[in-house]
Amino acid sequence: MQLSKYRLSFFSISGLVIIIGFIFIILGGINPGIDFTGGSTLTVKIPNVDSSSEVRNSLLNTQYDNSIIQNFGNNTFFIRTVMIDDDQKKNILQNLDTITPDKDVEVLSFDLISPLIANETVVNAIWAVLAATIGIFIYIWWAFRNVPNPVRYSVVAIIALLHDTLIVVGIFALLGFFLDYEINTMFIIAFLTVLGYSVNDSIVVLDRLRSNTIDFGGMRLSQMVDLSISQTFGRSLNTSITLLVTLLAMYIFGGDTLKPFILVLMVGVISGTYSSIAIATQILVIWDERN
Amino acid sequence: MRRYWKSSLFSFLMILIAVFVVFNQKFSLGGNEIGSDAVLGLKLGLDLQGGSHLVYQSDLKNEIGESIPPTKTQMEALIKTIERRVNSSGLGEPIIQLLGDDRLLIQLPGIVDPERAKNLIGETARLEFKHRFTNASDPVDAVINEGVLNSYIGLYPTSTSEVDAKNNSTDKKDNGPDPVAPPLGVFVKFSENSYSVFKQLHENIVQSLESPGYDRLQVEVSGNDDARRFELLGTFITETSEKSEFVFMIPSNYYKSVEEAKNALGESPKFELLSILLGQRDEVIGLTGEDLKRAYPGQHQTTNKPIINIEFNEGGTRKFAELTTDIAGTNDRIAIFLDQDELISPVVNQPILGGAAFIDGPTFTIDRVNDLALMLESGRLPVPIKLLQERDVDAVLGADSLSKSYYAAGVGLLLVVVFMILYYRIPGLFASIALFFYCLLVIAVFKLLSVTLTLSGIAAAILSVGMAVDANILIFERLKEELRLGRTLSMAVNTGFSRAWPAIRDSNVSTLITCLILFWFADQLGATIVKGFAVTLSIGVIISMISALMITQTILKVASNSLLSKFLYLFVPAGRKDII
Repeated sequence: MQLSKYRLSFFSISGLVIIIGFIFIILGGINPGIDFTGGSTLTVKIPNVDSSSEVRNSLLNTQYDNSIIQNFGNNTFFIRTVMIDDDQKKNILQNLDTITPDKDVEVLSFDLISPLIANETVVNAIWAVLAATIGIFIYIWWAFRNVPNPVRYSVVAIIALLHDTLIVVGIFALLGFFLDYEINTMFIIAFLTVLGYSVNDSIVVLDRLRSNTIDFGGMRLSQMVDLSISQTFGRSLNTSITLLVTLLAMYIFGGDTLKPFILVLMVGVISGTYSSIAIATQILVIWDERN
Repeated sequence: MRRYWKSSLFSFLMILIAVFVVFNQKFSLGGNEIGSDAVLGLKLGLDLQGGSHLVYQSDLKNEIGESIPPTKTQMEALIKTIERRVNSSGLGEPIIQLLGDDRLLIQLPGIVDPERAKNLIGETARLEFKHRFTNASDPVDAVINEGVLNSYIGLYPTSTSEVDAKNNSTDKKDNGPDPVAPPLGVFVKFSENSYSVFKQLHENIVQSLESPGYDRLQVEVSGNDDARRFELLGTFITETSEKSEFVFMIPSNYYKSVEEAKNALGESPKFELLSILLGQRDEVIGLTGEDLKRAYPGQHQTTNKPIINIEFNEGGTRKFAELTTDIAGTNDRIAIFLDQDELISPVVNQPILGGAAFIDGPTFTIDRVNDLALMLESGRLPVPIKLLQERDVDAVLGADSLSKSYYAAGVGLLLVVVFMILYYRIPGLFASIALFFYCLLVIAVFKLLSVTLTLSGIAAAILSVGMAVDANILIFERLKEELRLGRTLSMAVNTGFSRAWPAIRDSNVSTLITCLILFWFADQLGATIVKGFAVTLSIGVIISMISALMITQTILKVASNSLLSKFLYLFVPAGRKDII
């Protein structure tokens, strides 16, 4: 395997996916959830009601007529409004009661987040991502201290991570554009897990490179990279497959609330595996050839 | 042979302990109760069992309306107050946690009525001072007495009219035959006008039976030379079937028969309503815990008896002054209620205008005044609070999520096992066994550390299964390479492990770094979902390292010294012969 031949295609594929993602971000595909904007969400079961338009009509002429309403199936609806108090919530439920014969609307879940806490979530999320990146950067630097230029390994691992981040956010923007997926706390968790996985996968490939560098000192780096990737290819593929299989099981059988979360993880796993082979190590080789 | 028996023994013991922990629903360890009533004795989070998650922030302001941070003591007192309120309400055990300096996270597992909980928590005025009226009386409207047309004595009717049916429920005595004497009654006919006024009065008196203080009507019946005064509850006055006629019961201890009464009072005695005797009643006057500045135990200056000192703020001083001015010298009292329970009801000797007072009582002990002062103090929240975040999950939804998650986990695990065995053959089978033990260990650790299992935690646990599998895959790929280099199985197992280890270690440490940062992020915000994820994933990652290192290794080493080692091809993955 001589992977450097395909370098351009690798970079183009990633570039293309990232550009598509960017287009959807610009088109407004990123829908920040109440975790980031503040507000309230209600998940309600309205017996005998199947369409969101019925729900929307019942809220017409109230101050909630511009709420976001999503149909979760099984007569279950998700309603997102501005931050409401108990009386306002009661008011909404009374309006919903008018469209079902037995007036037995059931609240499955209710969330309320004040804009104050939402602001902090944004700030904290940014800090969390930055802190995780720095922590991983330092750890890799330390773990690869026995090979020449250990800092390069940290840099390429972080670049792979950035690549996966952009892919995940881009694809999520696409999903957000078509399916109204929201960015919420669960997304942040998934996002950070992808961060962890991306680095995890890069490290396995880089570790092989590390041991090969120590074992066969004289070889050219590009050859060593090709050797290391072919040696770890089986493992990378199998790990991704097992992870994707478990995630798929969760996607199909887990609850609706988990679905966007699992999609992010799946995209992250694929991108993470791809980036360690096609991005991280290739940048390392380019860097080496320049010197 | 000697080299691996220690790790075999250790693995065996670990698994034995795990089996014990997992399959005992509940047990005690060093005095701690471990386990719960949920599946496998795990502790379930709010999203899986239903409940409310509330985050409050202190809303403390100084005199000019600027926000000021609360002190640590104030926040501790706040936690105690809320704990007491929720506990005493029967809404279940709250879990209250301080977040940062000025926030509280309150979790109410299994609660079905979050509104009630919020009212209970957020209400600042659970302490109420009420004016307790005792022995007051109202005059009877003169119209009624002027409208008495005639009156005569007869037997008091039992269980006939509509009003009587109501009486039966309040006074059981009417049901059975009276053993003493048949009750007598004065039948009174009213004019049209006075009838309607009296009917209203009667309804009010009957109504008063539903409150603790009963009103009574004082009447006088006189004739010949006898005059009798009775005090009647609403139930002893009944409307008859005659138009505009009521019958008033004469208590049976006065006369033995109608004849005797008639002899004493004459055929048509004079009937007069004297007054309405008001029962004890408490009137809300708007003086609440918010008006109280402080309450603390002390000693009376001259008698040295335990007392409770109370001080009001500006508004409270004014209201308290009005109240005490009204009450002083009468039999009325101040009734002090905390969460609808009466604490004490002191009398007032003189008007108190300065806003500071003390309460003493003949039964006061030092403990009692300490408790009362604490209760008076805790009646108001030490710090005003506002709601920042709320997350309510219905119990049915929680149970649904839980069963779905179990299902997903089961299917995911099964698929992984099938894949591993098909691809890696014997090592795949070993990895599946190791995976089973891994799950056992994870559940055991969750239980021992009382980790709260949330939906995101289950997701993390399933993800950590993937990582545990990854560790095994890394080992097998190395093992495969070593075997292809022509090493014997036991040598291949040893070198395979030592060469796979750095990758396993480094990749897992980087995941642990992410978890640590997630945990910090969650702790700042009280985001229990994120926290559950981080904790679960960390435990999963650590145990996956241990299980790869101990269990997989032990199983492989045992196998490499067994008959199985004769069939080397069983240890090499299917297909992909082109890869070195």
